[in-house]
Amino acid sequence: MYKAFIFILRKELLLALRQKTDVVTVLFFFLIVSSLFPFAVGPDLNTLKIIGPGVVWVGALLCSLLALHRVFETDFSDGSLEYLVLSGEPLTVLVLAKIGSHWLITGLPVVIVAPLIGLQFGLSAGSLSLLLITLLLGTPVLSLMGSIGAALTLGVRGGAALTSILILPFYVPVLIFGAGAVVADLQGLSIEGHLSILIAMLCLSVALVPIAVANAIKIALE
Amino acid sequence: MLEIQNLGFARGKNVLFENLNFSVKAGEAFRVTGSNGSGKTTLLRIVSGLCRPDNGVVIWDRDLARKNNSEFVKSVNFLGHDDGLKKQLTATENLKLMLPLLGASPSDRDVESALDAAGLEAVKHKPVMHMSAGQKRRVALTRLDFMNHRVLWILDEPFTSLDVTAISGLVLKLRKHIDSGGLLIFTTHQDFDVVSEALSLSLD
Repeated sequence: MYKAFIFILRKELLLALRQKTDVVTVLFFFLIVSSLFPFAVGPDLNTLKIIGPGVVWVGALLCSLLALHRVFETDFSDGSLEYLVLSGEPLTVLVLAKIGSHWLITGLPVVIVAPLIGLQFGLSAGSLSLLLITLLLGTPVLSLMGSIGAALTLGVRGGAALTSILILPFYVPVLIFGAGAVVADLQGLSIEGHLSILIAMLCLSVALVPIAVANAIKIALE
Repeated sequence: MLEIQNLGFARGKNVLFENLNFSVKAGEAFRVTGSNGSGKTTLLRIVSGLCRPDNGVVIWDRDLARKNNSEFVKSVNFLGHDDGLKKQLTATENLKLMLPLLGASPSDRDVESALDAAGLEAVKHKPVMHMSAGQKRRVALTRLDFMNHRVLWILDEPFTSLDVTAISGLVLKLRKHIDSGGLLIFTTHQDFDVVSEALSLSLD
């Protein structure tokens, strides 16, 4: 079981290495989207400071969506998904490995670049590190919840757009508590609650999402 | 032993098959024939557990396959229409990263010599996307060399896009599997003498 997890991870990372454009596209999308806001709202540093955390979070969220439909789609069309289901290993574990590698490939780079974007908005060092922590906790939740949408729309025409419509409403709580933590900190409020809720969402989705996704995949293959 | 009882499946109003009964014992080959769209693939997907039938059951070693699914799939070696290969990876990488999930852990040398034996020596380190359809199928079929621990082989059109040498190589592999007490269910449009005493079922 553990070995199967590692093998999937290795395969996905090797694939990403062969297809670097996927990762680079997501990163550039993130940089460009979040750089649009200073142009739109003007260079006033106080305004930028207030909207900064929110902008970075929305950017990260859109990036997560951008790459999402690919989590299972290629495996579905080239037949590898059938072999995963028939491998005899628990499908939930295999699914978790796939989602984990998806986050490592598209989520983690965004988290790493985020403080740089935060600098554009004049965020302080404290806010930047808090932003990094909330993104580290929140973006895996985005990948996990998003993969339910990706699995439910497998084989559906226009699946990518449908995934976005299905999943975006569920991203809202993560966005509220993720961006909210940084804003609360700027206003001198306690952030313990925000972080606890983010951690709770992460734990819950790690435990429950693979079950939902595994079932959605089985239905898609029928 | 594999037993199929009263199997029925319909896609909407189109009844593909109903009241299907057959059994395959150790050391037997079973061939499913029928015209395009007659339900061969669906039948194979139902037997392997990928699809749910409308009626009937699949029994494996006197137990319902669906009830005991995690044990059952460990006996199944399924090869579908799609090869399940990642086009950006080489043939060697594809096999090395796929076989461990299927319960086989061959050494790198074993994988490479199996690919050489399949006539892929020149292309085994090239990405699969640069291969022809027949070469891809050969890569997928090389998996069979390492699947002897899974006794029930379910192969959907294994001979598609293969040339004469590859076909005779595959026939040998299938015979070897049956002779060693394995079970084989396969579909094909071509008439190959896989085993002279192959049982056969037509869905037409």
